[in-house]
Amino acid sequence: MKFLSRQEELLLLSIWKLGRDAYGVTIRQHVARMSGKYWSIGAVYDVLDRLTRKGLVSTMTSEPVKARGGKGKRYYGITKQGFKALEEVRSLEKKIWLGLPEAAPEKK
Amino acid sequence: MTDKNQCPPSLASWLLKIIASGRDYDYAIGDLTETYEYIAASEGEKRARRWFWKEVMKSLPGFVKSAVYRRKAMILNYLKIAWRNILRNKLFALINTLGLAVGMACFILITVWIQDELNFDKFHANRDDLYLLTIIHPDDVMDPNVPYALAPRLADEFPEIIHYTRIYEYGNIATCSFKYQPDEGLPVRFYENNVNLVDSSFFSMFSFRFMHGSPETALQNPNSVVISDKIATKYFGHDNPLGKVLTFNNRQDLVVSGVIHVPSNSSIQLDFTVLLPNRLENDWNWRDPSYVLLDKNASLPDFREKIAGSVQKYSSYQNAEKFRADVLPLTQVYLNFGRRTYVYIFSVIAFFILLIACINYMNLATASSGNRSREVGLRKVMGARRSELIQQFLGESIFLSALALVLSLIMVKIGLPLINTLTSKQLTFSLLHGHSMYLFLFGLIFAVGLISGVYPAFFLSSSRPADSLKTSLNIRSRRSAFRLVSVVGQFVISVLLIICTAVVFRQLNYIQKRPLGLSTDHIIKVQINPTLLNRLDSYKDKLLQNPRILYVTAGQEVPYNEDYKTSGVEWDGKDPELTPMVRYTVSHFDYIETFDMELVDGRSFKQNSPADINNYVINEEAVRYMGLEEPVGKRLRFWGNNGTIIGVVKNYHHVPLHREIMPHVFTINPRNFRWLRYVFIKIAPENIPDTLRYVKETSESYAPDYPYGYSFLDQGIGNLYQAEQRLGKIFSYFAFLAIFISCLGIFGLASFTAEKRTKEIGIRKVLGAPVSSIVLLLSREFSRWILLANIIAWPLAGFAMHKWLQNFAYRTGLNPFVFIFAGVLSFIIAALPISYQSLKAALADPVDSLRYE
Repeated sequence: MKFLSRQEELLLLSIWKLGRDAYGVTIRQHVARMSGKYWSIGAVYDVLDRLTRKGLVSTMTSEPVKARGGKGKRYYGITKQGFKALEEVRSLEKKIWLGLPEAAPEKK
Repeated sequence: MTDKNQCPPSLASWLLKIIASGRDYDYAIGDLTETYEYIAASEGEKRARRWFWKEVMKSLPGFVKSAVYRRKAMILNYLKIAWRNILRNKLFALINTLGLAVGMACFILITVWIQDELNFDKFHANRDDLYLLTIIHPDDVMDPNVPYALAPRLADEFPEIIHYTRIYEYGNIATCSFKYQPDEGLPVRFYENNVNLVDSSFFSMFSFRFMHGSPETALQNPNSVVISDKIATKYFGHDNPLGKVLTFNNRQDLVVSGVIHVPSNSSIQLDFTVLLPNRLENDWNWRDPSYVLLDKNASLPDFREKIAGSVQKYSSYQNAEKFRADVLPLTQVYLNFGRRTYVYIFSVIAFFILLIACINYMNLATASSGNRSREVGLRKVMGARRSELIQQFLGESIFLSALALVLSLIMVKIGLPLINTLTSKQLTFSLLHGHSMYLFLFGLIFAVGLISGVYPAFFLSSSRPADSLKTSLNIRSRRSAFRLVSVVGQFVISVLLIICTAVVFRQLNYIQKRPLGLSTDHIIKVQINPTLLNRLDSYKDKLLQNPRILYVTAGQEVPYNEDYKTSGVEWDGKDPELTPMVRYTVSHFDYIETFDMELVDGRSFKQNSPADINNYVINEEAVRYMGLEEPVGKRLRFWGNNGTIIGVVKNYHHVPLHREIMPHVFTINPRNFRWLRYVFIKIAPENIPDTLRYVKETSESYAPDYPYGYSFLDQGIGNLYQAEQRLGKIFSYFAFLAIFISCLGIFGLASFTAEKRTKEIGIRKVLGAPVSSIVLLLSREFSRWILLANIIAWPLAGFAMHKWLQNFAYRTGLNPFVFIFAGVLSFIIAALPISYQSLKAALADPVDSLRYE
């Protein structure tokens, strides 16, 4: 199986961390905070759609909320496959970092 | 806060809904709304709105991408069906793409042109603070030429003026020749018209690019001259021009201190620029353009109010209180003097031509809807939502418009050089560059696709599956209203353009054929230079020794475009309140005879009669203007010189025919001879080359130190109406294109109708109908449409052209023949495709068309 992309990994971790409160707005905020970059809604949903298609996250739609212009929220949660995919990237990271000198050479 | 304010921008939300449609995306829109409300609460409505727009724009590519991905199969199917439809109706597809491409090419070309027009004078760094001083006359006419004393006075009084400069257009009123003597070889000598004297602050106000030298040092010395790069090449070739010496009129050496590049979209064109001497500080008579640079922080309305009364305050004019000083922003100077109308006219034309092409698409798409209704029905039965069908059809029209754009870009590439020669501009497509170019092109694709596709999309997707699957008959009647409006609309535009073209050409013809009241045949003009001026009498005598030279005289300007005006004239019984404004000609003897002007009273100047030096000849209009009963013998004072009126010439056109004939005074006082610029020589029609050679040899022997140049007078007349000639040509091109596109459309429609009625025609033929009656049957409907279009277009065109003709003091009436001509032409043009199609249908063998029954 293909490894997760960095963006997918970031989003998956955000969803995991947010737990029961993971929907578009919160995921975007969290991801922006973690990566220090600006994420547009479109960019977030592009990745979320991919994750959904791969079956790494599950979704649940809430009842319409008045404050949101009468639209519902879609909550995301990680599936078993999602956890597995995350685990894979982590072990990969470990493996490729292993054996490198402790301190990275400092730039002058 | 009201409810409305809490909502995110509605246009942006709508856009989002369209692109990210499908219920799946409701929650994304919800997310956006939630964040929007959060930002609105914490940072304010304005920032939130801006954020929302930015967010929508940024998100669109992502949404489109995933929408395409999710519906990959469906979209592939749409493409396949669209392609099959193009193949099945090759003719319609061709007509549509060709029409749209031509329309788009026109639109792009006109946009590039308008862009260039609007960019005039925008290259100056101070563009927003530069103003042209103007004087508003009592009749509300804005005069861009103001007295020389005005700008310095204003600058003294108002600290808002940082710099001012006057531009003394010296080359327009006096002969200017320049000579460059290289170290070895022959001198380079030319006469020049564009010689300007400016104040020292000129180059710190305007940002002309210096190729050599610098703006700070260029005009420090009265003997410095700044030349344009064109002039530098003309005189010095590829040598470095800095420090080279140009001799002005063989008496003053000017050192080249700078070379500037003057862009073609600058309203100030400069060849030679020299420092203006200070002696004009108090001059209220000479008038030329003056510019001021205002302080950035100055309030413009206040400043305008403050300077308004300055003519009255400083000048000694009679009725000075009726003249108002004002300023006009530099960036509007070009548009303000005549160009704005053209920008409007061509914007409208560009839009209309594109619209005609879009209408073609609408018509053909709805007309052929019968072919698609089964597909629509089947899709609906299979569960397609109407919004999906609309998307499909919109996608098709956008696809076709993208195809047309590619074709139109090729046309633009071919058309640009044509437009450039027509408008004598250097337009390039790179006028729009980078992002804005892509934005423009994609905007064009989508705009054209949407405009032409919306109606067919809603129309095609509206059919009910039960009806459309049952039979394809009986769906023809209900959409004829729309088609009527659109075809009639197309032809209204075409007929309008035909009439406009015809009227413009008729008017051009009229003003060019109208007798000017003087003769310009076989008259050449030779530039006068100072040497020649000193020996003018003997030069004249020498020329007249040749029997084929009939008359020799001299004047300031060609007589058919002479616009020197003065208020320095008084006569017996003049109303002291009146500030007179008359045109005048400083001439030599024989002026009236050379141009064969008709005398209606009195006599002309007598050859070498010293008494006539103080006498004047005036025109009929001047007699009327001055209110003289018996003009001959009345006293007239011109520029302080008392004299008598000795003759009256019949009115002739001394200014282009846009304008009325004005009061005119002729003087032959040698005191004014320094203003003479041209010798006019009337030659016999026989042996012209010999005569020309004689004139050349004589001139060169009299003024060996100056270049010799001549031209025939009647050649210049055409140039007076260049703007109108261009307009006529451009109109005719656009009219042709509009007609072409309309005909494409009507050709398609006719072929469609004929196809629909194949069986009917077959039956009619079997029952014995002759070919002629069938052709008539098929063309009747179209004829009615075109007649209606003509009836609508005539008053519109009549109104528009009546307005345009008001620009001319002398004009043709609106001949009804023009309208009838346009009507007949539109019939003939439309009849060609229609009769071709009807004949084809009528001649077809009924056996083929009825075979399946």
